[in-house]
Amino acid sequence: MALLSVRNLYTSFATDRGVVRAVNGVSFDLEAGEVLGLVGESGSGKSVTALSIMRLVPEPPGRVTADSIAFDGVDLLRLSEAQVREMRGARMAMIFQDPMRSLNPVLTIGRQLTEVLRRHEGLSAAAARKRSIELLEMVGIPMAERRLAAYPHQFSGGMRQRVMIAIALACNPRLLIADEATTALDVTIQAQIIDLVKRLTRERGTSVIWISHDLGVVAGLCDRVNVMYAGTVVESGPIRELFHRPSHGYTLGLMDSTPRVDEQAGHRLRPIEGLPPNLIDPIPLCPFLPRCRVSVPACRERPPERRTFSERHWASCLADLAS
Amino acid sequence: MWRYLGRRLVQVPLVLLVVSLMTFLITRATPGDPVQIMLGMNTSPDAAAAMRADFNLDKPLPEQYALWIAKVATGDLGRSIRLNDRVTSLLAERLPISLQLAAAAMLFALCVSIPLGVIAALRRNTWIDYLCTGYTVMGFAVPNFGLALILIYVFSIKLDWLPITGIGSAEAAAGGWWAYISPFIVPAIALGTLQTAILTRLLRSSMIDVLSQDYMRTARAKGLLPSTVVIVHALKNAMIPFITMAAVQFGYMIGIQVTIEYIFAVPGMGSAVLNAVVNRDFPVIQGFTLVIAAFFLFANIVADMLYALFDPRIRY
Repeated sequence: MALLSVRNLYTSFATDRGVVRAVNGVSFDLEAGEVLGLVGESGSGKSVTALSIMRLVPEPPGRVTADSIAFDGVDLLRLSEAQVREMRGARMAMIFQDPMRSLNPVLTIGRQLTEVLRRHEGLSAAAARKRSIELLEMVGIPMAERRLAAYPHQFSGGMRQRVMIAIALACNPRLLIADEATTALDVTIQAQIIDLVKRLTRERGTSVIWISHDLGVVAGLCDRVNVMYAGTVVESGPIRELFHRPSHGYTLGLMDSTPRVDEQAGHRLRPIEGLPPNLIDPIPLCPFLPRCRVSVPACRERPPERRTFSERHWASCLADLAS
Repeated sequence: MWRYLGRRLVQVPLVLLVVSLMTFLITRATPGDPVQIMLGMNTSPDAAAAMRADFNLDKPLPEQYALWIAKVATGDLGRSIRLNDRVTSLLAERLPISLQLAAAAMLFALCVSIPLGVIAALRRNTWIDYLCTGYTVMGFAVPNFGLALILIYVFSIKLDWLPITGIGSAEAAAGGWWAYISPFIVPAIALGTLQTAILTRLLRSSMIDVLSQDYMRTARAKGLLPSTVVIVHALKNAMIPFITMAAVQFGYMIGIQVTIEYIFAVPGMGSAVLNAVVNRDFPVIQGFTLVIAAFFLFANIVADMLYALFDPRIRY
């Protein structure tokens, strides 16, 4: 049985200009120990999907509905806020994009680490402190004992993200969601953080949802990818199959606009023209149609249907990109 | 930190020197002769001249100022013309009472504004928030003497719950703790309501700002209890501007409680200053103004120190 099973997730936000449908019927499974990438541009619903799973979408103005979000056999949507609180930070944890702003500036690193241990593991102050030192050492922070008394502003961006990882993994969660966790970091630090997450989650068998707009990062880390566009998953598949045979116009566009290490000189990147649709108005046809350069006449007549290419690889696209 | 404190303290005498010159000039520039007011119109010119000489009022203004400021530097604020008492002993009598009233008013302001500001921010744009906003608008709009009269009418006359006067009186000193505290309640509310409004507004907006920060999402993602999220993670951040403002407002209070002291017959600095102004009692006006200014300056320094104490990012 999958560790996480999301069925027909819809998340919308009431705004002054209308209801924004940020997530429109997302379904996917995540196996224990699997690393799943969520890829898409800004506003494609990746983060909102993650926050909906964590039940961190503020309601109102947000509204989260789904047939089920089953985590370890329990439907998260049926739990009370108090019951979800017991799971957050303990069995499912999250790290965020901007490590500069995701740590509380007026609390020491020690406090921010120990509080999650004391809350969920019921550790004493001394035991939590000892465990915090181990955690900081685990994420590669030197002189961990002295660092407990430091404040976030005394750390570099990479160090802060290491602290965030230590906090997220403190209670050995089954699921870790990383929302653009390396986007705000420079490239060498990015690679270090990715390696760290890879190593630590593999050791513990933690399932990971890695959210990124960067296909390159996802390629190096994930087992499987969901490509999201306008609040829906448009293509999903194991990383190799998806890269060898992109089967949705948007996936293709993403790949053409991403620089590759093995490309030939003179090869030009091709940006995706246009803007993503506004998510207030209903979208009857393929949401990517106005920007698609491989569309076929059928795209203008009926909504896209799912085509399956292998056991786990499918795309919602009418164009046949194999030929 | 200590060097910064030292630098700030060095500035204090300089500012006070300017303040002393200004008050000196203003008292001398306004019409009214303290000696004439003291002795009445029918005194002999000789007696008036003798009294003028006694208080150095017959000397040229620069000399008067120089004589006075030289004494001030030694800690002697001179004698009151009207009361024939030392200004310093007058201060010793009245400053503690004014400080107690200011502290009581501040305590009231803190006790009301912290819960109100937090609740208004958490229940933003609901009727609870609008109710809090209504209260703060009232606090800004109603002048403290007007509020004082309303409170006296309701709590002291109609309901007869609280005394109107009695701060610093012999009965208050002789009675139990309630006899001592009860006369402070109505004037403290009248005096502190404006500060309550200012501080509630400030805390509401800084709480709203803090609640939208990324680290608040992190705190919720950790599964912390809502009380921990609000009090430890949000309030600790939101309190930084709040505490600074509270310290500044406390410094302000001593200066603005003149009318309240007058209405409630509080034998504090405010009523003494008011009497001194009416009687052109120059040494008292000058001395008390200097002390009020010094108090305000120190409150500001304390505010800046508290800022550094509560915000680890700030180091002087």
